[in-house]
Amino acid sequence: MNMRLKLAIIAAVMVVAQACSGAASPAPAQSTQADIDLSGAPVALTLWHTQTGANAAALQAMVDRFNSTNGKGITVTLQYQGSYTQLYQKNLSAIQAGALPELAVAYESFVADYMKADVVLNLDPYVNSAKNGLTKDSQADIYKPYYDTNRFPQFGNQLLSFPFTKSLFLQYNNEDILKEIGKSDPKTWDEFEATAKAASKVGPDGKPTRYGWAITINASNFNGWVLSRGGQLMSADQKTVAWDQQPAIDAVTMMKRMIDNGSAYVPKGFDYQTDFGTGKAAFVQESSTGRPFFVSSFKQPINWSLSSIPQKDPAKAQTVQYGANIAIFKSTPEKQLASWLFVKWFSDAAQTAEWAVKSSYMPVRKSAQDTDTLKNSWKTDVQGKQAFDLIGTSVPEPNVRGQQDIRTVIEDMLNAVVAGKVTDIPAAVKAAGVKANQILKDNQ
Amino acid sequence: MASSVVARPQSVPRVRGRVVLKHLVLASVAIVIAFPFYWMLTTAFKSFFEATQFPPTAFPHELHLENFATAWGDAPWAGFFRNTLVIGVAVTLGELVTSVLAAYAFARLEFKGKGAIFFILLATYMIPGEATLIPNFVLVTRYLHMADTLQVQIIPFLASVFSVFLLRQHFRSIPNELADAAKVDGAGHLRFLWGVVLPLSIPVLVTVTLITGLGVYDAFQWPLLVTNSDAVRPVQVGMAQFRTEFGAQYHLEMAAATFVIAPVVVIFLFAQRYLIQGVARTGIRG
Repeated sequence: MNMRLKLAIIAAVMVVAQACSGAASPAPAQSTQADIDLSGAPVALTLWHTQTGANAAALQAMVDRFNSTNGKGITVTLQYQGSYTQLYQKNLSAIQAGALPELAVAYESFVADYMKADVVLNLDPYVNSAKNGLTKDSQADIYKPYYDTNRFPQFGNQLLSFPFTKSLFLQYNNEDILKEIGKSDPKTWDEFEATAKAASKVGPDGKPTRYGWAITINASNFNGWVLSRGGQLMSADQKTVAWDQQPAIDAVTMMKRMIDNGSAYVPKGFDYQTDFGTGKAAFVQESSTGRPFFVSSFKQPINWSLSSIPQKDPAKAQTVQYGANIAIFKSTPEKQLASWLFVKWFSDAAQTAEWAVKSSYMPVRKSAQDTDTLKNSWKTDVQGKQAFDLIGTSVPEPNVRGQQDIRTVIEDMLNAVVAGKVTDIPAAVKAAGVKANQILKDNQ
Repeated sequence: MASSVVARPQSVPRVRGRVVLKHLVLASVAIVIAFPFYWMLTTAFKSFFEATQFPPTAFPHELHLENFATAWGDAPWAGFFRNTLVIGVAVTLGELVTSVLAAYAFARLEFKGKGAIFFILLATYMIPGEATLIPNFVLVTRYLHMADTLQVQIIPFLASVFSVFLLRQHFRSIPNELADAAKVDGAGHLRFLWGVVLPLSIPVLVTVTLITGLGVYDAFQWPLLVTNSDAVRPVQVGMAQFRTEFGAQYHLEMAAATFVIAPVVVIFLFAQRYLIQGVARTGIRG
């Protein structure tokens, strides 16, 4: 057999082997860039974030510790860039200017938009790297929904970001009010509506003095309502929305009905926190991360709990997963690896537990519950444990291009219903779906 | 008998009624304008619970002066104020120099294409800032490498079409006879500008100074976009760090807002006479 024939056979075998190994899930192929060694020469990284106040101080302290202990010459500099929207807009500008940082906090919809310029690093090779990645056990320790939300079907199912500030959409229950009316935490939407009505009170002047539900209007909450009623957010091919169906119509109709009969209202700003603490509202549905802000607004201690939002089928509870992630932008192999090593360090059980306690976000690893940090914290933050136990029910929101604009469409529809500008709710939901699908089409 | 038309004097009650009506309207407008300041000040002294109470209390039940200390300690305010001061002084002085010279040229010199150039300048003023934000960001970041510096908050604002326009309108109103007399005395353009025009333009110059200074003081979007570190950021970007994603500390936010806004109020109180004169003389209406 001559040399050419041998080479042809070897090449054919390799092609067949490659084809056979190609599965739907991302290939765990090792990248040479993910497997390199850092020489110890200084590597400076910048992380753009949105944390303020105590969270920013806690994050800074952790980053300082990473900088002084990583032993590879990596220095991470934190830079606050305003709200999430401002950070998103700044990143879009920075893409134009070629002035991106190495890392940035990002919602999934942001990452999808950044990918228009193909600037986001695929983390699969880094996660799977034998030298610098996570072991299979370590990967399995991270909650699957957190991986799911960072995989982008629109971009070959690549892992384009990593969980950072995660939380979930839950129900805050004022147990004192529930005890007073002799009810327990409602498990289904029908129970919820009845309990909220029972909790409502009217003063001598006929005006409500207590409501069942303080409604917070935003697209993520709407998505949670749809999921909890058995609905889907996107079609299987990710090309059209799936939330414009009966579950959404039922959710919005119930919301409007409860506002009209005085058992629910829409508070302004963060007033729902103080309203909950002062007993003006029996239920609030919000992010699990709001816990300390609720507590700080309690003038007198109250008995309260966190539970799943009501469900169509409580045995198959679903809620929406909140929170942002970290994206690494393409740069040099050394900076990319250094960025990954920081992200990996931050997601270790010790760090994710520490961050969870200091920031009230959810830890990203199951094993974090075994750390003394979290065990001690949960002795006082009982609701933190209640939220932690429900992480598995959280479902990612869509991470397709255009989702950021679709959120506005949803919120406009909800606000129009609340304001009474729209009375035909099925038509309003359908119309919002048409607009959303057009946005998706424009962003294909 | 010669007929004559004598205007009937208005009755005293009718005049008084108009005065009362005028004052009622003015008082209403004043209340609308002053209310946010009242709310800010009173909230700044309240406790968290009183600040979030509904219906709100008209005045704090207790004065929580510690709100100011807490708010001051929550951010590197001294650095933010220092940066704002440096940027404000540099931009205001620079803009005054360029605007005075340009306005003088457009008002009192004759040169080819003057009208067209002035028209083009005015046309650039019509372009909304949002439209040029990203191109400007790309320019200063990618090509000039000025991101995250004080300079990037100063240099782009050293010329202002609005200030040129405002000063030109005033310079045109200065009688030609003064220029002729100065010329007879042997004064050139710069001498005439320095010795005659500027002393006659104090109110307009103060107006330009105030408008420019306030613009710098209120700047938020551009500084947030082009800066990354607190070391070079101004006060308004510092204020933004008081907001959190999941809750608001209104009493601390208002305490911070009070000491952020205080310098502006003090400057305005001292300079309002010039501001009103300047606006009146140039015929600019808000």
